[in-house]
Amino acid sequence: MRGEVLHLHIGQAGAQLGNSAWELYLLEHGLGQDGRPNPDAKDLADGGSYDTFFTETSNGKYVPRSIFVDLDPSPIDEIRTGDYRQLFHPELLISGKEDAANNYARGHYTVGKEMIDPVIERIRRVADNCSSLQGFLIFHSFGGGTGSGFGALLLERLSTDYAKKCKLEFTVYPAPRVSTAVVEPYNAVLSTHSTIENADCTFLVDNEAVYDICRRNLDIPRPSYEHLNRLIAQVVSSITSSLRFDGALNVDLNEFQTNLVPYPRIHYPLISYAPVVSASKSSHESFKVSELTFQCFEPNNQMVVCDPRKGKYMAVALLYRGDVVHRDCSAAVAALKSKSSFNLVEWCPTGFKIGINYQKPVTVPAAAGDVGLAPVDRSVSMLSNTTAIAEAWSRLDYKFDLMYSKRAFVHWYVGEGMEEGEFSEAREDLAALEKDYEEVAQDSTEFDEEGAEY
Amino acid sequence: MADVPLYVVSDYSSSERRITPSWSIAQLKTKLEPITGIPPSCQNIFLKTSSNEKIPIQASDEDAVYLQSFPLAPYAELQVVDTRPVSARPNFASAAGVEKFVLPEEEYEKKTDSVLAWKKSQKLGRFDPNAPTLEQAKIAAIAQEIDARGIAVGKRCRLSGEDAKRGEIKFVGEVKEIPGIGAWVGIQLDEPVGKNDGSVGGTRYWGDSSELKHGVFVRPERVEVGDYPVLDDLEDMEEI
Repeated sequence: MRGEVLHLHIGQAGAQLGNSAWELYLLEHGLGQDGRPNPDAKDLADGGSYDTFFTETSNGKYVPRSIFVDLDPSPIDEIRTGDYRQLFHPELLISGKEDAANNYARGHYTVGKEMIDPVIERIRRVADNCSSLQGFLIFHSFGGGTGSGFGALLLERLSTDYAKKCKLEFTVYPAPRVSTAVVEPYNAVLSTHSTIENADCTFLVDNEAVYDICRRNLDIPRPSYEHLNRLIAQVVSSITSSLRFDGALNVDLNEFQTNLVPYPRIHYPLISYAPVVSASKSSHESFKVSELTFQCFEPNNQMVVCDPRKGKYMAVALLYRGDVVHRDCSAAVAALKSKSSFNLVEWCPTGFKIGINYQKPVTVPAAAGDVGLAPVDRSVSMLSNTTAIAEAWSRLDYKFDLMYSKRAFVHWYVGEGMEEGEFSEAREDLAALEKDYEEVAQDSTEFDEEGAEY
Repeated sequence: MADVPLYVVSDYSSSERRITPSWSIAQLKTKLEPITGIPPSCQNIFLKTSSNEKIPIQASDEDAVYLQSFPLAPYAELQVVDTRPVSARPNFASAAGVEKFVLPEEEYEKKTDSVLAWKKSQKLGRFDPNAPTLEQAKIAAIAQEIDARGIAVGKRCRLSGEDAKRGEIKFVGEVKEIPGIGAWVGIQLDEPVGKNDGSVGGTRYWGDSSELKHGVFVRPERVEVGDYPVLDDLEDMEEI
């Protein structure tokens, strides 16, 4: 028993990511939609350790240790009436009456203020029932009102009440081309500013990057959020699989921070996953460990649009699953390090970390007529802290500037009791973050003369 | 009636949204304002169906007409059009006149919770008094590359790049005639597709003077040592 983990799903994006994650966990542990062991579950050598993620009731039902919160009632109502209505504890599905209208200030101040105490109270009740709570996984978006505003408020409270517990975030990051809402850059900058000191590690995904991965590799012409979330769920599951299943090299939740984050502010790793392949194509591919490893480094397999070849790696964690031997992983890493396009920050006190878990990756079967991930014998998730992600911050910051220079929509925030000074303060903090990444990338040897011939 | 997932598309936004059929048109417009940035009174909404029909979502009394009276199919598109004249609409796409805010260097240096401050206090990177200078580090990195790749005079090799030129390593070491410190690898290519004949800037590193350019100097990261015999192009010709 390695300590319990509490999942917190905030806002619509957080709740939808939560649905996909729990859908996958149930299959991995051989549980049915109601949380009872599924007698038809096949191919499971062992159901793993349930108690990190589930509370077992006296009548043999496993209840997810998760809390769903949305200021808008409808996404939570959907869970209450959906396929998994029997699964979740009804008291841990919390919805408000008034939505946050895509406004950070509503989620963080006006509407959120009224919700925070009951939510903290439920968290305390769940935490008190744990024998040794290890930490929190927080799912939210930077763009939505609840996700950005209430998510930030919740993290502030968690960091005072649970200072020593690990807090990992999965965050939907604004996509480069199209915003989900016109004020998304504001929400994202404000939310980053108020969470940067309170989260230990934040894994970013942008919907456009994941959308393109799905479209390209799964041949889905117009992927829906469900397709995207199922792919993201695979990475989420890999990160926690060593807490739940046996493996040769187990990675603890706290280790992500120690291994991936050299300095607290630089805690935004890029993630990728391989293989992303549909059932119709999977029979033509070999999926060797080295091949899967290289795929994770391909620029267009990253879940945030940016080019890792232009950055330097501070740290890389490769989490393998399934039929994998350590020797193959080490060989793949060695081959990778010898590539000229792979630049590591030499002075950084972080480096490579390999995790191996013997449980075969499980995939959620696609609905009839739909395309899903193919069942495979092995997979790898990569978490990499690279300076290349500064490209995404820079893009976001400039989008903020384009609107803020005209003070567009600022009155929506001021109207919710926010001071205008918070805008410039947040923006300045993000400018400092860009500088931080620049500073990380400095002082490294570079082969800038690549391809030179004389 | 359950919520319907629809794509909401406007000039500055695109997203999948849960739409509640019991909303009135007026309610929908209020919800769409923070998403699209268009005031309700200036929104023209169209529902694009799978048969590519564009159904206007409008009514004389928008408080009394509900969305359920429209054929909302999952993943159909709601287009929100701004009816204001172009000049009256905000333009967030144009970068004209907007400079990106960059934190001035002196402001950054004042910060105590920055990577720079941390590097200074922990003596990392260039603040490490024992750190080799960048030049030394580069020379060391190149030497390490030569070692790791097993590069040595007399070995056969292949160059990275599309044409994967093959040849034999003739020289490993510094070449003062070429800009850039650290070692270079001199290769006699099988084909005369190099840059020189084994001499550069008047200094001969191997071979005899020749009209043909078989020689080339590259950095070690482009050299793959291995069993790469001379390719016989004529062999392929016979098959054609």
